[in-house]
Amino acid sequence: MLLQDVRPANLADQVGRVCVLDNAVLDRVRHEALTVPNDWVAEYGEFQSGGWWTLSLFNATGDPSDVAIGDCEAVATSLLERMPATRALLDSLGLRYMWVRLARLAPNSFLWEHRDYGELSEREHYRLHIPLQTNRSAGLVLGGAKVYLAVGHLWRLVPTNAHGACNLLGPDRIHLILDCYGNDGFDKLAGHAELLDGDAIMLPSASGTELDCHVDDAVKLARLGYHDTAERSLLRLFYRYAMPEGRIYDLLVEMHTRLGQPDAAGAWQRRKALMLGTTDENGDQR
Amino acid sequence: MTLASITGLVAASRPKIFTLLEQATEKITISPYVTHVFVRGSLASGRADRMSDLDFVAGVADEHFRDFHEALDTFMTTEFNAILPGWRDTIVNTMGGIGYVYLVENDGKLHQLDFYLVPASRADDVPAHTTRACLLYAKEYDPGCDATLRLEIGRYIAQTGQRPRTSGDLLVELLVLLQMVYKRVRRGQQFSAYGEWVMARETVRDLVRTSLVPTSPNWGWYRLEEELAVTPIGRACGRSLHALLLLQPPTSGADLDAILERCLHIAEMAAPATVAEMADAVASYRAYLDLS
Repeated sequence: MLLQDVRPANLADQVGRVCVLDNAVLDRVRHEALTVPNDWVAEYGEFQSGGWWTLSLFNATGDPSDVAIGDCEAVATSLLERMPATRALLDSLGLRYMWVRLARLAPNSFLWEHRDYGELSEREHYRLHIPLQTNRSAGLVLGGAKVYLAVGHLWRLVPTNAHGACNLLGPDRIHLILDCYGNDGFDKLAGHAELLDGDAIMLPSASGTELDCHVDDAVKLARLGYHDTAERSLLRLFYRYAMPEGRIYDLLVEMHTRLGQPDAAGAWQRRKALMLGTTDENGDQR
Repeated sequence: MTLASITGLVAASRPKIFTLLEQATEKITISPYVTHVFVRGSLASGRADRMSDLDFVAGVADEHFRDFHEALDTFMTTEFNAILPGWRDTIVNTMGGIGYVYLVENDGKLHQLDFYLVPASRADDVPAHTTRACLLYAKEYDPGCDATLRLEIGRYIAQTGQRPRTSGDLLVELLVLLQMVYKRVRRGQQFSAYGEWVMARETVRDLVRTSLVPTSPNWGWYRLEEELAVTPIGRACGRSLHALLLLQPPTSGADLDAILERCLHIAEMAAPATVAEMADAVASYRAYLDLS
């Protein structure tokens, strides 16, 4: 029996291209992104596999290593001052920034299924991506679809929908991530998003039997002593199969239950609630 | 300059393969059922350079050998950034187990990691077959006297070795062999390059044969032209395969790129679904080898 395959009525409402960017400008920005930054910061450890590194270009303090986003009147960071082409591009877009980050996702690295913005105010927030370097194994997964964010466009993502990001094989994926407040500039620039042929593929559904087999394999790995590997092998399935929201975390609960580890199973249940934004970091309902 | 600072410089300049060796040893030995770890090849004999591969032998408790073997691809993908499934190594010495070759990403570069898995009860025989350095030897491991289990594992290993290769297995084999040929050429190892170049083209042949004439009673080159000549796709594959045989091994990145393109073109004619399935992995392979 196939599991319910929940697909969005209109994927482009969740993620899509909003406008073309000048290739020569992007070449300069990419050159800066690959040569200027160092001391990348690993933040949001609960949400990622390791391998997701960021630095801020606009934020609350001007310190590029402050990368945990929040509502603020953004100022340029000392890193952005050393990246003039990037500064010029960001200034040219007419956006009101809350936070802008340079994000590097290493090969075999993941942002697990989650929702963003739960900790922010009620103001309107929007997220835009500018891919600088990518590969076909990298993408955003949401609503059972894997979307490849090609270089050359500005992309919009609605991050309050459950989503995950992957770079399965590499090399590094590098994006500028722009969190903005609503303004006329945003409406003019990014009011409409579209997906072209080849941008998105629908992931196949997994049967219950198939998922059981994967849990069996993970249990075997854990029994061999490779507990972290077992967990990650299951979490990676989110990027392979279309699954109902949160199902991936249920597989972790199943694995630990079968291993007779109720504490670990409970921890994954709590983590599921945190990742999907139904509770805050203290475990309180939102 | 002090001796300490020289030591620091040496450490900073050491080939990355040693970092990979440390990481691999640490990760593999997390399991209490890994009883032995040997490193073989150039690393064991002090001839390692920046292009060296990592040759690993792991002894695994007999009762867990099968589970470990079945989990190996998942383990290598998840823990070592393997970009392709393992290629069942047909070149390695027989040491009582099963060998695989993986292409793994480490620090932005592609490395070859050879992983030989041997039942713990046979691990003490490994030194007789190869130059090796022992990194782990679990003295407390008792190989046991369960002759039935040993026989069963022996059969399992033999069956695995005889399992027919799929078009996917063969495409992985081709990609592994081509990067080996290129490495040999860059090192000036012309004889080895020649040997592996012959193998790479035979792998393309086997991929064509497996995909287009799977029920043929013949093998190798025997009667392949006649069998392929029955259909337009077969004839086109035959022509392209013949043209491939006339080429010299790659001596530059551009050569490798052109040869890879030709091989993939043949593979796509013979097994389009397999090539499509591995398109992302091939794209990453090209990127790491700095091909277009």
